[in-house]
Amino acid sequence: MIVTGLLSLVYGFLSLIFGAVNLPMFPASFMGYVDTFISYLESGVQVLGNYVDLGYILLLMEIFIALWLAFELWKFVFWVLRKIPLLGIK
Amino acid sequence: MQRYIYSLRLLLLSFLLCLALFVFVSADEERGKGFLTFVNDYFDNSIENELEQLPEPSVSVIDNNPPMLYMITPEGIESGIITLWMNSKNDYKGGQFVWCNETLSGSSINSIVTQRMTYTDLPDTATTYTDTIQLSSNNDIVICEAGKIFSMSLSNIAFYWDYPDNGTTNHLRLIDSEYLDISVYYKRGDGQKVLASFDELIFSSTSDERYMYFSMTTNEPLKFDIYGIDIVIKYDVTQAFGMPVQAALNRFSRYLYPSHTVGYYNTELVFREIEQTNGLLNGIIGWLQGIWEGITSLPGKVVSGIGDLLESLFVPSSDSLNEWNNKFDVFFSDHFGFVYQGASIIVDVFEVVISSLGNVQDTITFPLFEYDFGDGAVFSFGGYEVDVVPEGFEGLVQTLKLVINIVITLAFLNVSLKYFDKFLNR
Repeated sequence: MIVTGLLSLVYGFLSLIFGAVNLPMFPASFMGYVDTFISYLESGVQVLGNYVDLGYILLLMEIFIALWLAFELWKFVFWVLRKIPLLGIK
Repeated sequence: MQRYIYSLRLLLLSFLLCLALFVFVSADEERGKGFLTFVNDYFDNSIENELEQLPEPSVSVIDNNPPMLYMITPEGIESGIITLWMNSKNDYKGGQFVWCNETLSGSSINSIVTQRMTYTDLPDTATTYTDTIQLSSNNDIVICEAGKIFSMSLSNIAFYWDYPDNGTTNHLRLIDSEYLDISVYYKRGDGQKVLASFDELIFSSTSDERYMYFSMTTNEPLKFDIYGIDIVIKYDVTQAFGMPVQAALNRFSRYLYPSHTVGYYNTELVFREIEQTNGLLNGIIGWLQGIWEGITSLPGKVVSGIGDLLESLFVPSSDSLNEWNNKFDVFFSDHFGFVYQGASIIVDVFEVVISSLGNVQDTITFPLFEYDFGDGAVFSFGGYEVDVVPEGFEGLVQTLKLVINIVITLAFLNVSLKYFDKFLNR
């Protein structure tokens, strides 16, 4: 309920501020270069995989992100709970 | 309040430890089996200890026309499930009855009907309860003919045993709403049980302080012989173990179905004996027990309620989140043009990098570059393929990987501990 309410608030705010803004897209040729760059990057990562265990690094990254999110969620929950005077959490 | 928060953190840590234990046990199949075996053995032993104290009911036939049995009922029986097996002489087509919601008083009967079953309860008083249970059957059921016999399973009927204070009469009462099916089986020549049907049955019972009588007749001349009777006794401990008690007892000399006893699961029986000998003490114990159960169940209810409340406050549904994601996506792509594309490129890069992590490219092909000087001379470079790991260096690369893994693991642990300290405000 709280998250949905916040999302609704943000969406309304963005619509109000940027509703009239219509920025142009990149030209197609530029996007072609970007695609080529990304394909080179992909190859580079795969070459790097010969020397580094990238799957293991990804696993550790996932665990780290999960822990980080859990801590942030904990802080957010208590930030909300502190707003309820009845609970008396400081 | 700080203590409260600290306790919550300890709870979280305990949960994580339990999770780790679960992962530890589940990660290895043999280890998991060993653990589960230990748990099962522990509870099995505790149940068996309870079972040793239980008397066993017995059933005998006292009349064959109509078939009638009696069952010696041990003290403390709360309910019974009765399975009747008829003699099977010929092959027969199958079907199934459905017993709808029913009570002995007969006030509520839902029915879908082609078959009908009637039973009568005859306690020591002259009062006769007559009720009609209407049964459904499949359309392809063939009404049985004389001599084509079945076994009939009433295993899903539950009876309630009522012990009055004067101890003279055991009333038989049906428990409604929980047991809805009656299945009728017959036994084929190869010994296999087959679901079958029967014509019409009057099921009556009389009980006194020691015996409970069941007589089965049909409205028409009996079309089958009793094959055997299984009586399943269910003690009122379903909340404790969630299992019915089954005592399959057959004493027919000319009927072949073997008797078998599945088991007893009862603690209520012992309790009732105590109640009969010392009602006041038991009342006090029950009163205290009720208070204790109320107190012990309170934290669970509070935690559950708080959990539900927090979930409803903080956790939106996945559908809702997807909807919002699409909404924002459309909004940004419509209004932010190249800025949105820039963000999309970054996302694409991450996706490509992550998806290519599992793939290893062990060769590099250099692109071919050629330049024509115009006089027939051409400068050419590239176009050839090289191995990323030169031959003979495989061992070195593996060592390098190991070292990198160790370094990364240490870095990960270091960062995690820092976050953990921060979380504990240390």
